[in-house]
Amino acid sequence: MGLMKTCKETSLLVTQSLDRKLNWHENLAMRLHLAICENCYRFMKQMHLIREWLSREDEAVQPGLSEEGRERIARNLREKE
Amino acid sequence: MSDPERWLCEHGDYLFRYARRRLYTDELAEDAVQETLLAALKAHAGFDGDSSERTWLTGILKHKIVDLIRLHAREMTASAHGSEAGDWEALFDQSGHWMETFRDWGNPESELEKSRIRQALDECFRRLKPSLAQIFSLRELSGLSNDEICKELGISATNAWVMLHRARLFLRECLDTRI
Repeated sequence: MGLMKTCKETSLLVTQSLDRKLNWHENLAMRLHLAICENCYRFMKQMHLIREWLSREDEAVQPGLSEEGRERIARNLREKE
Repeated sequence: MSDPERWLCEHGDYLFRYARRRLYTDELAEDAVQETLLAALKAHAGFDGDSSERTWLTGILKHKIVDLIRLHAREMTASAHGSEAGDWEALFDQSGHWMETFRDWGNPESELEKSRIRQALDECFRRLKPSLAQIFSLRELSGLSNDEICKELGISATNAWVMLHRARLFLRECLDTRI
């Protein structure tokens, strides 16, 4: 397995690096490609930004329970009590 | 007013939003809230009073979300196999180069902008195929490890990586039009 990876192979290494620890060979191959490929570098940045943004728990703009949903839950709770 | 009714009143919206962000339909999110309040009623003695009531309920909700995803998992992984497995490969030419040039997203600093992006991400998450949404939710929104996910969904590690890969590519593309 060579160290020279295509963008396609690198994109898989980038996303897998978010889910598991890459071995040293994979890690080196990914870094070598990212050092010379601006597009993959941006892709990697975007993947990390998505994770960072998802970790925000801000809920001000989200809809709450609908009236029907709230009533359905209340009804089921009364039955089980 | 009984405890569960009061919980529903005081924390219902909060719990629903928390669940809605991690499940792909409003019905599932409502189910999660209901299951949580029922479980809380049973485990009332388990509330130690140290944490806030909301923190206690959210702790229960986290488990209920994973339970619900597991419960609905079989039908979804079945539809995820085969046919569309190669869809992400269309993003590359024959020599493995990207067909598309990516923009620099920058890193928005203002709270308003961050809030807007978070909302856009929620919208994009809900447009994912359920089979991809469930695994992405377990990994990224419930923080399960890959090993745990494979156990919960009964899939191989390689399958899990490829599905997460596809989910991330979809979210990237969806978000790109909203930034």
